[in-house]
Amino acid sequence: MKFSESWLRSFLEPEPDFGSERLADRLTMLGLEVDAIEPAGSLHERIVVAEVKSVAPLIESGQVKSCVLSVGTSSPNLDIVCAAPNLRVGMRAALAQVGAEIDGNRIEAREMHGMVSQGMLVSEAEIGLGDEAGEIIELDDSSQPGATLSEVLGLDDACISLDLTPDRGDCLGVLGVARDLAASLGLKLKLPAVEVPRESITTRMPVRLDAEEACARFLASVCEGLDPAAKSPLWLRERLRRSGLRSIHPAVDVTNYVMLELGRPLHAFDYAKIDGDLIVRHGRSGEQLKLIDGKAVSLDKDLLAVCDSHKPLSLAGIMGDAASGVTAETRAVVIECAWFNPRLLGRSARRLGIQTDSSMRFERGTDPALMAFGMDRARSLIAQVCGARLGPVTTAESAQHLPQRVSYKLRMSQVKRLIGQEIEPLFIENKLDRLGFMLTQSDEASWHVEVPSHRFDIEGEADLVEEVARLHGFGQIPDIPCAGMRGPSRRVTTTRQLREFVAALGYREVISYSFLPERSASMAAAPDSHLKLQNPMSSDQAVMRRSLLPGLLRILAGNLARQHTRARLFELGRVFLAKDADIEAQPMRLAGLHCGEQWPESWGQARRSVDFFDIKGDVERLLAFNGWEARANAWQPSTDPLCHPGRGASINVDGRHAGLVAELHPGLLRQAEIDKPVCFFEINVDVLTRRHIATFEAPSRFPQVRRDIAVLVNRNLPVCKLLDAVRQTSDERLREADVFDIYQDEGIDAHDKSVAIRLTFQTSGRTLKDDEVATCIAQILAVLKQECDARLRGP
Amino acid sequence: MTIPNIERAALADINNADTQSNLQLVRAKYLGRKGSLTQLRRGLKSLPVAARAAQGREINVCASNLSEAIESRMAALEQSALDENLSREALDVSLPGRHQSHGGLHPLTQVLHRIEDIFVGAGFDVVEGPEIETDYYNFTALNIPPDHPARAMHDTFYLGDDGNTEFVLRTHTSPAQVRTMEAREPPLRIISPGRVYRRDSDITHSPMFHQVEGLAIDRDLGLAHLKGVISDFLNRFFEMPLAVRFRPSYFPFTEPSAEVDVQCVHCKGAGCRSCKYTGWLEVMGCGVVNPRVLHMSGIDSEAWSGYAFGFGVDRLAMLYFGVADLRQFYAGDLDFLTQFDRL
Repeated sequence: MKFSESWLRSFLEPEPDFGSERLADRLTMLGLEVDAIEPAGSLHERIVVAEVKSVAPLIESGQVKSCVLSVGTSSPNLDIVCAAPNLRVGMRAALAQVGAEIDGNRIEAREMHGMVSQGMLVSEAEIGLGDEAGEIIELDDSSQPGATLSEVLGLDDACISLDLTPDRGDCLGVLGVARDLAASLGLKLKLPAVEVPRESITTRMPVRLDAEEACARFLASVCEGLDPAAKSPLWLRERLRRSGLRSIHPAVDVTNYVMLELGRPLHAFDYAKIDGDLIVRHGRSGEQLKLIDGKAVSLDKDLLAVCDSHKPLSLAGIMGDAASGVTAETRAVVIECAWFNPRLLGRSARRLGIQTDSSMRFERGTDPALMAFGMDRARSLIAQVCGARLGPVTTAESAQHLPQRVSYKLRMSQVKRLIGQEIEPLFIENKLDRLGFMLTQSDEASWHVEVPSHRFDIEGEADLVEEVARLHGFGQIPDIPCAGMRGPSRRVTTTRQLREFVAALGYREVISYSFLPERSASMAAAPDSHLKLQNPMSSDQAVMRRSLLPGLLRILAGNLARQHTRARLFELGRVFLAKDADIEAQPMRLAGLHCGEQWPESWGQARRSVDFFDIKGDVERLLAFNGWEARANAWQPSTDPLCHPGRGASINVDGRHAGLVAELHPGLLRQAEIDKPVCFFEINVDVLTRRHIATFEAPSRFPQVRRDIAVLVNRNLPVCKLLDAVRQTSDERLREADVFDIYQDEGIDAHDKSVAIRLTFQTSGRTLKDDEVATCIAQILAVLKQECDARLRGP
Repeated sequence: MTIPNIERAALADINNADTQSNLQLVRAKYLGRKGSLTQLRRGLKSLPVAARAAQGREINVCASNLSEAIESRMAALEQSALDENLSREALDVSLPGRHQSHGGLHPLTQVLHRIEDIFVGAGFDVVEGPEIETDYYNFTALNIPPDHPARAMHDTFYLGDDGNTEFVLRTHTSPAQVRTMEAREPPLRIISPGRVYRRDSDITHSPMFHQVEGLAIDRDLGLAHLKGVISDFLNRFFEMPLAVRFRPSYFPFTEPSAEVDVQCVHCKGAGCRSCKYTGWLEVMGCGVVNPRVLHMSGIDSEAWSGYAFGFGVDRLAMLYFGVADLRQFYAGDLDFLTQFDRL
């Protein structure tokens, strides 16, 4: 549903004194969602009303004439050249003066046929107001010469598009929208004044209902003597245009106008094409309609048609037959105003796959009480616009098949219960009354409410409560907090995810006591650094742990003693770092250890002991699982006495110390009575759970280019230095750099090692050229040479 | 040899060729440069002109038949060679796959996750707190002032220098709730799981164990709401409809207070060793939050009310899994821990 804002405002008294945005907001908050507000149009201010003072032929043959125009008493008259067929003395036309801009083109004084034209008289098409391109715009005689066309047409207006829900068929007309708005704003709803001229002819259109369930009331009226030269006035065409409809024929324009205004669909037949009476009946097999849009429909007993005594004239309520339609030759029309059963009409329309402005309204329900008014509105407009003479209105009706008025009880208690807030009874009475509901107080706490004939969506008390809530405003209803709803508690969800992930890596969870014997606590930290219990139950539980390692080693030793030969264990829990009790210094840690062979003994795998890189791989997967990509992590040799010297590393993640990964020192293991190598990691959960939200980058559609380089460097140089240097070139085209081979053997100086690096290049916008990649690699090699004394190996 | 004879002999050779290379030899013998048919073709020009055409046609027909037969034999041999190769590659699919050892979650963790899932589904949020607590949060804020007799119920571990009573190992997870009440506005629904410590050790007690405490604060929450939540939780946790009994009891932080008994999960109330033949298992304590506790946390007890409950995760795990000795959970025996993956 699309309509002009000024049209909507014309229904309200007094007009609201606020702008489009607030109006639109109010509609949306009433449940009539505003989909778009667009300007009604914009015209340059130099396009003005001009009165044609005189017209003279400019060249002997042809249409081209010269004319003198007045653009108001304060301006001199203008000479204009024009070839429009409808140019005549006395008319008010639209003039684009010198300096006006149309579509970005400036109008200049131009010499034509020996005369200088000081501007251009324009057609609707030329300034984007319609389809008419041949004739120039003719304005009402009341238009003041010199006034801007924008002002005369009221272009300071907006087109409002509503995205209506299917239950609100009553708002498929400006009237219905205005009714809701008036009720909401507490304004008076003003109906258009309708004065039907006296009936001056007696031609009656006899009507008959042969399918009363499908069509319960049918009004028809003949209008004769349509002026062949009549055109829809500009104001009417403008309102149609702002609703997205084109002007077709004045009589059809009027029916469309009333449909938009009142939500009341009408149809106009050419009276001359009707043979006999109008009969609403079901189709018969063999009957055919050729619809206005060219589509052929074969009728049958389920499709309703409006027919004359011999043939079908229209697919009732959906679309007319082309042959019975109004054309330029039509001199008399019959206006149809019918009530079709929404359910049955909807079924037919869906079956045929046709949806029209008319069928859409009938399907959602039309107000039977508005039929007579709609008919009169159309007749008065046809008389006014087409100069037609009106005949009487004939009616056929089956009252029992019309929708019956319904009533429901509305309890104040239910209003409070469903809305969750007390609403003033006076407010309820006032608002529902304005919406057209009839309220009678049945007792202290409830009303008897009769639903108006234009509402088809009210089916019970809850619907009435919804009306109250809508008018009260959903924004006015307080938020009662949902008890206990909080965002996911990150910490706990993540420790759970961590546990599950580490378990999936093949580690078995254990839970060990938070207190330790002092002697085993000292394995992982200096002897006197622990927080002591004042009243331990035994010396085995004397101090609080500073690391998860002693507990894990103790459980490992127990299992080795019970004939297990390998184990992968982990624990997640707090450690207590302060020697003096401190609430802050009790961080959560995750630690794991692996003892024995890397793989469970199996027919299919070579046996080997677990080593540093096995456990480092697990930690890298753990970090990656938490979103930390490799380059955020720095690994440095650790001097912690726990570690095998040269086989332990401390990890920094994103610049923060995160933990330790190591093969444990054999001396330590001996002390713990473990005779197999053990690899161990311990990480601060804080670092792992500090997740960052990834930023998305569209994957490149262009091919990757891979190049391998091998360089010779000092054998003691950490490879990470090399990779850092590669990345330091920070060329965005370099996507990845990975080490795929380390070689230090024959053919290489004993002080050197060869490191093979795979470089991957890619851009998001295009395919990389070979020489570009070569340049990148040359740069990388230069940096490697400078930073790491790296020499390219071999050709 | 006549052409039909050649053809017959050739077809026999083709059929007898048992490998692709033997078949190639057969092809050479008949169709190759020195093959019989090629020779015959060469001899055509020595024939009388009249006979040439007929003989030529006969040779061509024979050659094409043989080619076709060789192709089809070749395809058959290829197929059977492939089949043989594939059958040599067959595996004993019953052998186990290569993998790292199976990890797994501790039974207490599994039980805790079950508990969290049930309460999170009911709109409870999970909060945590420190394990080293101050005396204030562990006791005073919960309406257990110094020298209150209820402190004796707790067998507290004290930390630091002798005689210093400021820091304790928390004896319950309620302090986390106090901290939450201080930090957030009601309404609230929280559970606080975690390790707690009491000086006690036997087959049903461990100096360290796990608790979940729950707290809900809203307008007009009372005993009836509490009863609903607890009964529903216990039935969902044990996955069976169990009678639940609320007995009046005493906790300083709730008023009224209740102990909750659940119908014995083993004998369904008939009486057994687990329930000491009472038919009931004591599983938790609960009650309506004492207004004094709300007040101490800055919550208006006229506007808000709530309930609280607390239970031991270890106790529920023992009942759920049928574990008799609580201390097994903390021994880390792999032969014990690995059994819970199969449940």
